[in-house]
Amino acid sequence: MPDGATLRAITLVLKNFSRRKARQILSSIGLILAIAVIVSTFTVAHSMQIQIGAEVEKYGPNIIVTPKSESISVPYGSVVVGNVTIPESSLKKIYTIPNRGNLRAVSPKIYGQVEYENSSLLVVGMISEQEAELKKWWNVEGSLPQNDTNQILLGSAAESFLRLSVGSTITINNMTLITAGILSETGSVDDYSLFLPLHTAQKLLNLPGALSVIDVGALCQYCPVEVMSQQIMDAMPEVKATPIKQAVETRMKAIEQTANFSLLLGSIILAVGCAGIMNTMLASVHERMREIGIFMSLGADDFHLYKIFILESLILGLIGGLIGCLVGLASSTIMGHLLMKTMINLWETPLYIIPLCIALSTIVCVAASLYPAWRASKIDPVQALRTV
Amino acid sequence: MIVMKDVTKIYEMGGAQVFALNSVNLKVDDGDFLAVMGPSGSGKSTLLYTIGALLTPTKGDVTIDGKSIYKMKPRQRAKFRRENIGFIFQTFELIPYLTALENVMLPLYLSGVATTKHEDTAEEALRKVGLAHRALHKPTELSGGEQQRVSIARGIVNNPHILLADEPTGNLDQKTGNEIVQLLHKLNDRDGLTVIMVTHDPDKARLSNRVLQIIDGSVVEDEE
Repeated sequence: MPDGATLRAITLVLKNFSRRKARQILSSIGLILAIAVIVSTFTVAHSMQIQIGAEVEKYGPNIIVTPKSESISVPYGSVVVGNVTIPESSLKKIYTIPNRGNLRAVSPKIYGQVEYENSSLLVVGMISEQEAELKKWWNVEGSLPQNDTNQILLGSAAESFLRLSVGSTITINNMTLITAGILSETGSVDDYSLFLPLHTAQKLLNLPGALSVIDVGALCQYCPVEVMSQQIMDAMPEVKATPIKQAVETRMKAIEQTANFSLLLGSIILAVGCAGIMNTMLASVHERMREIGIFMSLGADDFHLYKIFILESLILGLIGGLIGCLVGLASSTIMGHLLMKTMINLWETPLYIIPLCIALSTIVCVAASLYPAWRASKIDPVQALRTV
Repeated sequence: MIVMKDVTKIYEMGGAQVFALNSVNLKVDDGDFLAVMGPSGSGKSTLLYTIGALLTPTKGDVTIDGKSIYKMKPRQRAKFRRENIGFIFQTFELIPYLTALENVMLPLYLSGVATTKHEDTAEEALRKVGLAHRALHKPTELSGGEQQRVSIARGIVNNPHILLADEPTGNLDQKTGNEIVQLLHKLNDRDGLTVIMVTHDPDKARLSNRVLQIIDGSVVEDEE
């Protein structure tokens, strides 16, 4: 005799499972498939969101920080810059805002005009890597100017006008500058600009420690840029931060549409999965009618039957959900390749999807078992015992 | 004491009414061994299930120890059944995926008996029917007689005071059938268990202290 032998509802359920392996596997396949499709759809959609976000973010900054200024003198693209500048020393305050984690790129710049051979040239001082992060469409022949050097990057129109090539030099205001790179045509004011390292430009323009504008690229999937703009103005009272909503709204719309599509697809699959489980459990109730009759003759009431059937579905849901998650994650890499012609990075998938899907699978299974359990509890025990 | 008062059970079959029980009046004293006889379809099993709180009569009342069992709510009735009534069936009705010991534990689980007591209590019941040595075998590994003994152990494990046996020897050979009936008498004598046994076999019925003849749902003979 085994020591401590007991009988619990879980014993009954597991022993019944082991007796009906084929049926359990078959009924689980529908559930596993449903969860797998949901997980893989979510994983691919999430990856698409990241990629769409990355694509949209290529369209430049979404917050522009300018000095609080009444006077207007230097136009730069769609932005107008006043004579008043932002002290470079206050740049670090941007990194103190509550949503600092959402700062993708912060590109401080100084603008100015210099005279060269009776012409006026637009000079832009920048930190190359920050500016390049914001302007991912830039195509540079040669290289970007290295910080604190005399290297320059020429816009395409400026290059034609100055007739310079990579490696050649130009002297402006007694400062000799070396052409590090030439920017391909962008169709913007950048084509007419000379880009210098920030501190070199400040020296050339005789504006040490001054900034004209700070372009901010924010990752704002979960934060409105308006809030971040206000946070910047709170941290730096001397500036005006203007959110550029269009890029964010385009991105949010794309994300929303993708998410809605995933949700719709997932709901349909879940509904089908739920119907499948209910059907299997109803068949199981029918098959086990005699067994239910025996249980009732031994004194089982509706509570006992609900407990057994719900526990069965709970275990089915947990196991199906877990396997479905694993299958879904694995198949998302194939789906990603087929649908997006790209590799899905599973490490980018939020971890919460696993417990969420297991919980979803379990809830669906339990919900699908309620009607069969109710049917089981309504069985006439005498009729059931007479079932052949 | 079991009291059936004017109990009628009517089934609707193809628009016709079939009287499975027809105004049955019956009293069974505690500790009685009652044999119920009659041809197939006469209402013997219906009588048994009605006493067993499994089949609500169309008319009449069944009281056990003064409690009207069909006036109870379904959960109360199920609890009453677990605590007071044990069933034995012709085809044993053991749960095939459980061992003999686990089958006997089933009523203990349903009654909410502490799991620490499951093994000892079930083992004791198996010992009473002389089958403790086969505790870990599944029903398919047991002979018919052994299966019926497990069924009896399951029926008595909760210490009910009524044991209802629906043709318990119907699927057994003569010798094994006799052994099972002897076991039921032993439980009746030793533990004071009230036994109501449906049987077709007059020899086995004769061993009872009371024999009920039932035909077309009516009690036609009640012999002590």
